[in-house]
Amino acid sequence: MALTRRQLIARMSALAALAAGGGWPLAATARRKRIMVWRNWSGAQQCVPAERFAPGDEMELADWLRATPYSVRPVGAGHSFSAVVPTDGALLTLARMQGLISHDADKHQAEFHGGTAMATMGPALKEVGQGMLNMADIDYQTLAGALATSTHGTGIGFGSYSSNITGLRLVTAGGEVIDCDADNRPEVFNAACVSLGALGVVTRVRLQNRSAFRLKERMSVEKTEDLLDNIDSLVRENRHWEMQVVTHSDYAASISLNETDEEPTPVEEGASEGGNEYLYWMQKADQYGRDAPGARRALLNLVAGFADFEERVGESWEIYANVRDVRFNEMEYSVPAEAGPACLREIIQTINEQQLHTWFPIEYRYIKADEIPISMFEGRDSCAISIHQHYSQSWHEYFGAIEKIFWKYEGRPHWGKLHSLNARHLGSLYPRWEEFTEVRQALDPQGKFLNGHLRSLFGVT
Amino acid sequence: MHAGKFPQRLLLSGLLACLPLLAQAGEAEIQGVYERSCKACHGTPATGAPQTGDAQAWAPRVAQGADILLDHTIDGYKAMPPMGMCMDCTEDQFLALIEYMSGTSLD
Repeated sequence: MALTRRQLIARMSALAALAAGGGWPLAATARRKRIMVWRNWSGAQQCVPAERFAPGDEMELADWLRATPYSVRPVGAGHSFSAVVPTDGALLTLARMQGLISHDADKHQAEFHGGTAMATMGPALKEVGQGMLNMADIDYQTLAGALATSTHGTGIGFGSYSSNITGLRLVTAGGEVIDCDADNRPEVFNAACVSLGALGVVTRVRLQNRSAFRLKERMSVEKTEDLLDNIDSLVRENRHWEMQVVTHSDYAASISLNETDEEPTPVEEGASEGGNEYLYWMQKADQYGRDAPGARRALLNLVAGFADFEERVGESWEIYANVRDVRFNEMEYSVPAEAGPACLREIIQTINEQQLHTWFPIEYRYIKADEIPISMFEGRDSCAISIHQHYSQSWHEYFGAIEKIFWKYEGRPHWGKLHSLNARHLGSLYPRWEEFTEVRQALDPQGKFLNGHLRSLFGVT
Repeated sequence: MHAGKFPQRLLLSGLLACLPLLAQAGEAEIQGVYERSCKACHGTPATGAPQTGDAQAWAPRVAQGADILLDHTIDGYKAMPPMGMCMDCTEDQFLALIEYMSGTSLD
């Protein structure tokens, strides 16, 4: 590897010092190196890995996996809130394995490297006339990272990203390279579509897409109870619909995305997309009104009454993805779709009765059922309810109070978000749990891809 | 939504001409890391990230000094993920990337 500028300067300084016969003073002026701590986006998870490795291709990856003495955790963008990544072993990144590999125009399918940044996928697919069937409301993830945790958007007619996989390549702990799909090693394929990176490294993914398309976003603020009363038509009559409930108020933002042929609207400044600027008002209301709940509710309801949003039209990936520049921690559970309204009402009631400290909105979305063994959406149409807490505030009391409600409604925790369940609980939530754990045991009997969190999830000692 | 590639490259070439040390210290390597890790945000105005070659946007950031910029890069800052999507980068590479994007020497 070529020397960087600073490496060059440091080495020249050392040589000059030695030549002068008084090396230490000059060498000591070089910048003191930091301990390179890995953190997730919220800062709640961190580790100091013994090694960080970025292979350039599958051969290099397989050779390294056979040779490394460390346990291995693959990392994507670090956008998971749960402890799926932290390791004192080796941190593996696919940052050098990115981009579109090939596409099939007739089937509307495309194959990408696992390390591809999702923010780059929309433009790449547009160039070959394709668009993803659905996307999440952020695109900071990498493809393999999003698939590992069953990341999803909203829309009862659409599954998670993982449900659109038609084939993938997996490099195992032993260095075996497995190409699998519904016909070739289907048991590995099914398990690897949502795997938390516990089966090996997903280096290539073939996705089912559709023709490229545009979306129009409409956003309005309405009474939460009115939206819940009208939920069936909102969910069925919009391609994508979600709401963001403003905690400690009577209102929620209703957001619908529908296909359109209209011309794109001017691009907004990133920070104002998706109602981000209203977070400022919510934070201020919390700061000054926390000790006077009645006044805070009145203020938030007043602000909600003035809320007004421009419609946005753009290429699908531009409208799906929003800028999220206020960091937070998050818990999300998926409950059976029909239980969504009751679960949300109980959460809101609990926040109000216990005056739980939070000012972030609650996100409320729908996802179509899939057939992936440990997908949160396995076997049932689902309603995903997400609660958030500003990264600087403790989440334990708030999330702890709400998690009990999720359990009551047979909720399954999002693999990339905070929760407190382990193998003892998870096995009963997933009818096909053993199907996954048997594949994991067969592919990685030594637990090379496990950290403490995953050992707890899968009951591996 | 996306900035034209040609003018941006022309601008970068001009900026790099002002940073001869960066250019001789593995410009191709740094550009490769930039393409795979930084460009998705720092080359897309709608992300809100300071854009590569936008001296006006970078000036107040560079004024904070190399240590603060390294803090934000390694720890993450606002929408920016920790390590800026380059989980294998060294401290020196992060500094070189900041110089590359800002067009300014951090010394």
